[in-house]
Amino acid sequence: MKLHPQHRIQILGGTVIDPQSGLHAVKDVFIENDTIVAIGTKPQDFQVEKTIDASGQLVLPGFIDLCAFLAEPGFAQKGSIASETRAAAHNGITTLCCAPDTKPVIDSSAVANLIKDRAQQAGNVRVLPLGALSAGLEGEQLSNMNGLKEAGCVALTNMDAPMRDSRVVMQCYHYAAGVGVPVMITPLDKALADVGCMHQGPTSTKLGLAGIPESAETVALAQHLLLIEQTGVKAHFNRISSGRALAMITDAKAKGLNVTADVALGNLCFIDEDILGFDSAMHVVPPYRSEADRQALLAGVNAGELAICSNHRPHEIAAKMAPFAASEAGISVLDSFAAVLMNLVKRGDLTLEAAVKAVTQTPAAILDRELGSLRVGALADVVVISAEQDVVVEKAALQSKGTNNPWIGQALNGKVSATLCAGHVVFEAE
Amino acid sequence: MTSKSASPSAVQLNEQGRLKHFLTTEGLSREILTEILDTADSFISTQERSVKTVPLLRGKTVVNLFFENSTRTRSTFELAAKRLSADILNLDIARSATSKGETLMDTLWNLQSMYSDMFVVRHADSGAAHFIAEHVTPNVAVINAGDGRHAHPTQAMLDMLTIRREKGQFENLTVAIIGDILHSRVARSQIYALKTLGAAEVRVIGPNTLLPNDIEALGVKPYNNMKQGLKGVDVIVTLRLQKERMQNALLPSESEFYRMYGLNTDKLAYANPDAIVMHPGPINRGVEIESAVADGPQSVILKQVSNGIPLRMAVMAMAMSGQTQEQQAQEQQAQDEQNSGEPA
Repeated sequence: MKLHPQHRIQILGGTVIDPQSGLHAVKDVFIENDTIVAIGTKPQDFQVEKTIDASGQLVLPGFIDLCAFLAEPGFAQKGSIASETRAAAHNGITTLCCAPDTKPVIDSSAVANLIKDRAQQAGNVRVLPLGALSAGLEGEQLSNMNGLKEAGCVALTNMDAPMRDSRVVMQCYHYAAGVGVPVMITPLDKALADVGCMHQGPTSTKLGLAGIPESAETVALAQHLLLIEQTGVKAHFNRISSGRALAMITDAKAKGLNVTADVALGNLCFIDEDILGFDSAMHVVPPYRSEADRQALLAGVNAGELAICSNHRPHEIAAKMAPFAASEAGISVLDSFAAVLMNLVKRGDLTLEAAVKAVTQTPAAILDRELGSLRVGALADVVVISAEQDVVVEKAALQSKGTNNPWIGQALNGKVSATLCAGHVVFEAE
Repeated sequence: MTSKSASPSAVQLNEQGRLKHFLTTEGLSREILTEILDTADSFISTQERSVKTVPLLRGKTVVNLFFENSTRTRSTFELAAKRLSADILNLDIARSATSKGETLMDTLWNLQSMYSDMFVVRHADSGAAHFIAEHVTPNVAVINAGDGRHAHPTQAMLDMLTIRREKGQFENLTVAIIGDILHSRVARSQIYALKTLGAAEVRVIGPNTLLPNDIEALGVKPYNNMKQGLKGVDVIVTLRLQKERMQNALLPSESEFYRMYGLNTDKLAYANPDAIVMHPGPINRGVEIESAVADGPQSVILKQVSNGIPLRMAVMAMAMSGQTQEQQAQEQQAQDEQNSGEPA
């Protein structure tokens, strides 16, 4: 993202919302190079090179996605860093943490550096790699945690790959605490999940699909909470799926444990009953659970307890053209991220403030980075969005290579008109 | 924002509401289920003649696609197709293309290109037949011969045929299904058919580890105890217990299962005196049922087998008719569009 030497942009007339500073007002925003230099009054001698008219629109901090799969290296048929980050930029995302289950796995500084280089070349959004918690994600041996941290990995995770046993988990957390690198955990007890491919409940019974009980998440979560307390590792729970898991995390926080959590956007939209009809598009990890779980997770976002991540997982057509359990898990989210988020606000599922906070202030705090805020002196990551504008998700307009976007053909609302990453316009609607 | 909550059932009907595939008993109307039974009844008489064939599927090609092993079900489908005068192709999937890396879709598209008219599909994945009917070959009539734990609708309907022929109707009947409900596609299809046909009460009896969570969502009452579960029952369905259920912490032993749930003469006495005993086969004598009961006066197990052929003839004839109807409607529509586009 090369900047012009004297790079000045003004964003005029938009409603500026910044949960970090509590700002919610119609203001002009002035950017010089990569920094916000004024909000409200134009600085003296500000020679404008570019004006973005934001009247009638929202001006928000750039969104931060804590977990997306970019498919590179290793899965060219599913996506590339360039294609997937382009979809992110079109949706107001300026910082994106990429999942380590690529091929090869992000368990060496070489792979982490490759990803950062490719992201830099693509020039769409800031990509922060998540490193593997165990070598090769095999759950047997510690990864080179210090090397990964030095190569820029913001946290370490084993994603959905199982750990061999609880001793390996404990050793990983113990070591990570010493290195000073946070861990990200998607709690799942492998034995309880067994061969399950959807939420265990009335729908799985009707369809005859093997279920993943809620206890597969909560039993594992209880164990992780104890090991986090014991080792003192800085931990974040990624993509929780049940209301009970959220309650356990809230309880742990109330007792003084320093943990955080997020939920995947899809789990705020869909429930197990959407699988009736064996729709393989709805085959995801973690699974869509009950309406009560969805409501609890929405309440968690509204209460500021949860960040929202995309859990973006692009696939080629063939990956989903199979009977439900045999299809590959995941939905392609980045192309619709902003519109789906704004639609949750329009439907009354989320308040606007909570939705914005969950993709800006909260994930920034989780990453412990000076990001996700619109205030003077902050990095100019900005999204201008027409929140009420109707949009239809069209297949031809998808930027991601993933064809598994469950919102194709649906009428949503919320159109991003410009995305700025560190003062650089990475997307602007025609 | 939810995408579509269509039941698996919607795919199997054409625009006139007629069967064009037969995938599940769930979601089908009482009229259609009754029509299946009536049609099967009419074929029973043809089965008693010396010339057993009727020409309903003459010139049509039926392909038996069994991705899971089966001798009996496959044979009855083959016989049913032959008695409808269809050409039948039995494909041994285990030894053919899919083991060479060809995908399920490619196999099916190849068969479709050979002008197949009907696929009879058995597959280990729940939803497989539905997937084929919806996404792969919608213009080939698909008959589900068993998909994972989901459905085995022809077995369920031949059981309904047997019940109706024995009991005359469904309205006042209490039915108990015993054993491994969790893994049973037969039980699920039976439950939906019985509820739709108006059975007074459907019960499932078994140990908790073989009863699915939330089974009440299907409108049935679960029981752990045979004495309570069989009280006042008119129809008893015993299910086959797979040997592999003794592993994976589902059951302690065959002997304990037999002691608690094996249907013997003593336990049969808990039910109504005129209760009938059914089993989808193949039977494990001494595991889920005692020989004296299986071969006894209340058993209708062999009648179930006989009813399998006319029932499958009925379903194949109906689905082929619905499929043809839809294709003719589509052709007509295309013709109309072409005509309306032409200058007068």
